[in-house]
Amino acid sequence: MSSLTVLTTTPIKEIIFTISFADRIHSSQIESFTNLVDDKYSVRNFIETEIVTERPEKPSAENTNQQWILKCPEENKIINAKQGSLSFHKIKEYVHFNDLMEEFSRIWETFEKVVGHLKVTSLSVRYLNFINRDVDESDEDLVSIQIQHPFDEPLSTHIARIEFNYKSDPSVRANIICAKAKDGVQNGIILDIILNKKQSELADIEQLKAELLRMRAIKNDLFFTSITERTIKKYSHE
Amino acid sequence: MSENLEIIRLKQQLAQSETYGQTYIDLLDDEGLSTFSSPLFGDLYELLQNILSVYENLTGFQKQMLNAVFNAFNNLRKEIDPDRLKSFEHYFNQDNELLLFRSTERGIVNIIFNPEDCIAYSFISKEHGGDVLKFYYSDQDDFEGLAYNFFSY
Repeated sequence: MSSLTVLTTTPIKEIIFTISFADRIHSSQIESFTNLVDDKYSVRNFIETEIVTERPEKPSAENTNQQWILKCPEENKIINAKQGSLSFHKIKEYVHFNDLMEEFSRIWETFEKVVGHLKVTSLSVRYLNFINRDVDESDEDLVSIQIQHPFDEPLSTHIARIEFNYKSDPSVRANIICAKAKDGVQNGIILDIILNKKQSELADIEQLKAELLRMRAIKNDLFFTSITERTIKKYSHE
Repeated sequence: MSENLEIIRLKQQLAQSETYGQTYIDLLDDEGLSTFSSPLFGDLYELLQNILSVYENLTGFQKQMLNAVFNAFNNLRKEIDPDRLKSFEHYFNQDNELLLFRSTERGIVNIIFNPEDCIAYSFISKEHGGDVLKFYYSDQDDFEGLAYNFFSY
């Protein structure tokens, strides 16, 4: 629909890029990777959990899972590195997509330098938006995804999810979630757009960037199709 | 099977959000931080991951003992009774203690993880008498009995 529309303020609250991979990597490799990550990620947490399928006295490397969570408090960014995936979060204030893409690409490049070339299985781009709802507004005023029901009363809470393959690129699976929620004291709606693309190969950083840019365009299309003209005006004037 | 895996994957993805992961849990689970009634947690492993992620300041001792308690929960479910486990809630108090607790018609049952020394199991009965307090100092202690008692009330 209005993919060229530019909002002057943004309802985006969090952006997450995730690369999933099939290879099993050693926890020491993840640790080596974290040592190469920029020092601005000053808060570092290691979490290890044991998955027990037998008696505890029979531990196995297959039954443990380690993950590192690195936080950059100044820039509100998070890296989550664990067995099977690497995620990059940007929370709170908006940052241009290209800047995030460049940083994520550098992080992935560093990761592969340590663990070697990985067999990537999927790529995910997720945008979590929170659309403020004023007292005189209904959900229908703000988003075009609705739950139909036969009851007279307005819903006090709801969570709706729709899932489909994107029409012009069926390799991208879209999940759109609409949930009535609060952000602090502000009432509103979470509009969560999750795009997953199965990959058989991610040859290099340029291919990663190209895939991310394609998914960004899809995200924009789905976002503007999911909101109403009223919401566009709301975030074009505030 | 593949559909189930897709659903589990989606649930994990929803909870992955730093900003709204907890909101999703609350939306899908009226009991707030309670556990097995939440469709976000397909198994004990996911739940343990979530607790470790939420409470970043747990000490090594608390993590070790929490692992041991979850091992016991898992053994209880696998080897004694798959329906034995019931929903419980968790909380981190101002004394840096992690609490797993259940409120039942008969009273409140707690497992309290002290930062360094021990974990305590307590049952506070709503009736006169019947209170229980036990301490565990090592992950080699009888956690099977602890798990059994925690879900007995």
